[in-house]
Amino acid sequence: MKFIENKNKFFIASLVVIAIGLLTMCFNGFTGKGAFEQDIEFKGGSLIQVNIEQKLTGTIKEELVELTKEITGDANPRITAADNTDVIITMTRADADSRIKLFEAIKEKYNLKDDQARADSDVSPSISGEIKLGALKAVVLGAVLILIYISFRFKDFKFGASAVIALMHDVLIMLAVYSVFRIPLNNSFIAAMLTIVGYSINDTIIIFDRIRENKGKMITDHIDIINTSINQTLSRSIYTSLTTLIMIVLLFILGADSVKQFAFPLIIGIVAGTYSSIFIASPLWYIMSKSKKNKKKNGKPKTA
Amino acid sequence: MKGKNTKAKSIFVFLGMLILVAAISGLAVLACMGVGKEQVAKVEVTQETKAETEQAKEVKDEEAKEETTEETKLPQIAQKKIRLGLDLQGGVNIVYEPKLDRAPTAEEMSAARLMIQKRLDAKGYTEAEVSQEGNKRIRVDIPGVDDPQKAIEEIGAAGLLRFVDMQGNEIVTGKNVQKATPQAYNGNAGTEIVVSVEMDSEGTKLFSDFTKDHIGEQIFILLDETFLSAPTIQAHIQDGKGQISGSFTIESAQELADGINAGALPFALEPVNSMGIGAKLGLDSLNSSLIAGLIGFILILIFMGVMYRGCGLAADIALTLYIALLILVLTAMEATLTLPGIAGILLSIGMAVDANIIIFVRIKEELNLGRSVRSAVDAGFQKAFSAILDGNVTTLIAAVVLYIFGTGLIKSFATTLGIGIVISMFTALVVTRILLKAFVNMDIRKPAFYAIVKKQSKEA
Repeated sequence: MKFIENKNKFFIASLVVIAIGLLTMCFNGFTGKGAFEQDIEFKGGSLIQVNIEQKLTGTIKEELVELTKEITGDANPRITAADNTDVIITMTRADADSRIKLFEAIKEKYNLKDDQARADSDVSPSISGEIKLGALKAVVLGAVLILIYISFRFKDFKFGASAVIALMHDVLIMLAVYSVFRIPLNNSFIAAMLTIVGYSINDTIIIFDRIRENKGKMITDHIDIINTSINQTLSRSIYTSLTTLIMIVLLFILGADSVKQFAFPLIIGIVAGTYSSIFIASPLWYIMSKSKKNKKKNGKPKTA
Repeated sequence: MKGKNTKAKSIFVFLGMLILVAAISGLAVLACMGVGKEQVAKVEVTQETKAETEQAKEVKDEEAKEETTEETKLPQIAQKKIRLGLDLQGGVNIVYEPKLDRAPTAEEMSAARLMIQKRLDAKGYTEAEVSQEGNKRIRVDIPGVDDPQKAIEEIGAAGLLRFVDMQGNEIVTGKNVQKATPQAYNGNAGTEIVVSVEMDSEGTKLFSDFTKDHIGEQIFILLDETFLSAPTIQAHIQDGKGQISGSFTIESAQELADGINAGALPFALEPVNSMGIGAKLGLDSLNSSLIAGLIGFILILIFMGVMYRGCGLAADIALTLYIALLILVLTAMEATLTLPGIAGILLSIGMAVDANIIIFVRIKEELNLGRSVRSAVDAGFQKAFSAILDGNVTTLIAAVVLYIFGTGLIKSFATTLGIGIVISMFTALVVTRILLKAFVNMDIRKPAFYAIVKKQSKEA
């Protein structure tokens, strides 16, 4: 397959997805919905999860909003369905007392068997700020260290740089998924991001490793070397993605609700990570090394 | 002669490996059975006491009972267990911060910790753990709680120290008490150990007014509803410095002083983060993830066997060993397993499978070039090594950074991922290799056993 020759098509495909994500973020941001749905771990607030013993309908939703408004004073609580007949009510910070009152009110209204809420959570905004900051620090420092390691091992900064850009590509695609599907940002969002970062960097390195090896023994231009290397590693890339996908799709099908929320972005992320390793990282390395070579040799650039 | 020898030896190696893998897997299964057992049993039992109508649930209870009796028979593997995070077994986690403009001192923090501990003991949360996080946070973890809201409510507010009279009227409260210290006091009866209590100006006045008319009466010192001490008033205390005497040992005097100090915190504790998950909800998450993981793992084993035949078989054995080792290491570390932790395990399984696939692709390539099986296996491992090393080291870097910067759940993800990567490198590079070499030496030399090759290579 001609990966380098068609690189612009691949770039454009990625950019389109990323652009859709960014546009959704902007649109939702400006219309007041917020660029992302955020769980209380990220924005602070309280939630309770209650088994209401029936499917959540529009009417029940309205009733729950009313109840929550009455008891906690939050005019805008979020009601979402969870496993089976559970509902999660997310609200601005409410103290333990009013959370219990809210549960008791729901219990009475729907004549529930449970004597207690299934889950109850409260996060102050100062903590959520720290969680976000910690995650951001970790991702940035991690990327820098990976960049250094790859540059050192491959004796070529351009490999490191293209790998990290491919990584950023995956992060942006993931963000697009979270924004478009309104999957709330929470702790499993961070774990999902990290999983994809780890997976994708590994994927990219396998291909770069081939390029490094072939560069040493093939006396031909970079286009040829890269295409050969990608083709040689293609079956591995596909099989590895397949086996990982088997696991995660099963998690998505069988998992509890919180697991599903984690598995869905992972499925997209694995696909994006494999895609970026094959169609983005290597062409990027090609572009970077081409421009440097041109400066050195002042030769005619190859047609792309 | 020599050939026969190596063949016999390699069969021996192969069988030995199989036995080793079986033994380690057995140990891992035993370790697994201990995980979260106590909590599981407890939840089912409490359910049982409620009126059960559905038959299905009754069956489940019986199963649980059987399991609990089984547990006592199980050999205890060094008493160690993988612990389950609150998201998997249910429970309550609360983080407190003092409501203060300045940073709290170390003494204030330990007094606050003690106060919370006393409060938990009083409410019967014996499994609760109280720990300090950073220099201004106190973290309380209570595993396996049925009613998260009630627990949060009960231990939510700050503790209250009260001195009350015999009718139950409040004389002074914690805010009036400055500090309590155990002291040696030289009285008429020789040296005895007392606890001296100092009041602030308001407390001094209140206490002076009260003791003036009530000499000979008892007062009760209470922390929340917990009784700490009931001294008898001996004199009119005007300076706000009371002494509680009694037959104290140094320890019991210290304990009383600690109790009073705990209730006399000069600040309130504010819960900044609380999370409560009902035990049942946590178990649902755990079970569904484990079932998905198990099915997925079996599918992967089948996939590898079909795609890579003999190599796949070697990989399957290595992967089984990998899982077993991972479980044992996590057990030995008494690691806490959470949902993100399971994600870390899944990712590292992916990496373990990947390492094997990378090697097999290389072996196949070498076979396609017409090399002998023996040299193809050697070359395959040699050429795959750099890719596996670099891929795993970069992921390991990410895991270490996350471990350092992350909190709670993220740390758990980083732990399982990091350990998983190290073990997966070992099983892929060492165990798979030993097995493949054993195959080669067992005179299994048909390339078709190792890979689906395009051209049949000449040499056997």
